[in-house]
Amino acid sequence: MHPGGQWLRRVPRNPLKAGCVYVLSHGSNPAPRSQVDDQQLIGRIQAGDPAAERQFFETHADRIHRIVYRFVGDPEAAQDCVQETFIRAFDRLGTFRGESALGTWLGSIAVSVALNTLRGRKRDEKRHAPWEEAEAVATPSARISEPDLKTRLHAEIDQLPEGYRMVFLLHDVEGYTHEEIGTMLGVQSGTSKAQLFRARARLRDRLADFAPEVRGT
Amino acid sequence: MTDEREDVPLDPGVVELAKGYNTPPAADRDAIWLAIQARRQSAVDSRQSSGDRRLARGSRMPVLSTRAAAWISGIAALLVLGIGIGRMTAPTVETVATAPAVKPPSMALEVAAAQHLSQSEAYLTLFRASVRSGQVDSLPVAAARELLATNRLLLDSRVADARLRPLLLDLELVLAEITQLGTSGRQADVKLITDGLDHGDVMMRLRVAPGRRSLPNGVL
Repeated sequence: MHPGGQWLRRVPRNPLKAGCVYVLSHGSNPAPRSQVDDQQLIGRIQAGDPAAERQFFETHADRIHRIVYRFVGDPEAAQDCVQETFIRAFDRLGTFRGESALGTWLGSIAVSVALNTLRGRKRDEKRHAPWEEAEAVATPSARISEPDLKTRLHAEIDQLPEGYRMVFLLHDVEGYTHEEIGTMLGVQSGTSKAQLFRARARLRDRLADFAPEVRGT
Repeated sequence: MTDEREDVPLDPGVVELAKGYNTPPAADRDAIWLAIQARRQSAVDSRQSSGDRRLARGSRMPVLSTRAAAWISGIAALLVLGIGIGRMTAPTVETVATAPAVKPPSMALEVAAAQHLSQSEAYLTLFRASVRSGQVDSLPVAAARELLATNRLLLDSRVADARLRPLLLDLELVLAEITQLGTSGRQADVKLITDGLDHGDVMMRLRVAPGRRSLPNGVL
């Protein structure tokens, strides 16, 4: 819907072309994409209209890239995730029932793809762990230096359990609502709220030495 | 529910710092779209050759690296640019009489040729590895098709001189065979291709091709 509480407004990308893009609108006249638009676009894609496929991609590519990049943190892996997300979306478009916005449905695919990438990476890391540990012991200077709040915060976000981290990034960083996050992660919105609470609590606890700054409003 | 009642947002300053976590750069949408199209086309080809019972196979195909797709499109663009420059700067009929009989290819063409040979070598190495591991199905045929198109452009250009032309012709044959690999008689076809690669010393000739050696350091 509208990350950061801002509305997405549909504007022509190029007056000479049919495709449209979404822009963040701070105005008071929101014009979110309706489910009728979504269904029309899906119908055109299923009818084999290449312009509709491209429009679908152009409309959502940047937002999907933002989500997966937040999770995987690597340009090439993120681009591969976007690629895989749209391949799956095109394959499964017929299963979209319109119970959520098309963008949210696409987001759920992106989250699943990013999770698979992260899990594959963790398996690889486990295999290489002894070497990394050895390197860490061999270069202790980085551990001794006192990191600033930003560095520590990012390191602690890295350390959050997967579910907490995803909810925290989607809600506090990307601005999605708990309902949207629930749809993307396949959980109840209450679960999303609970995980966000625990993520914040853990960050506060781990960053206690920066207490006045982290305690919150 | 207790969690919800007691939850307090983090300090806005901390949230701002959190927004610097894995800050996304701009997405290379064109490269991603190119890779998506290549994979989808590859899946369609696969379905056509495998029949309706194996419709799901396309979704299991390996990700064609966005970087690889960008490379291939870059080579094609460079090649088109080189040919364009070559045509624009071609001598007129009057000057042909006084110009040398064979004008050397432009630098752009040489770079494009060297990149093409390098990509072809990488692809054929991957092909041989896939054959050895019995996973030829997982090889992206779309990449072979792109290489074949580039190969044909190079054959029509000035870069295809007496030294390079035989190699490009052999390469065209191998790439054409790979793009036309069907399911029936596949083993025999694969063997023909690998035999062709071995007997023609294609891999060795790719590695020592003249165009790849004459470029200044750092071009590739």
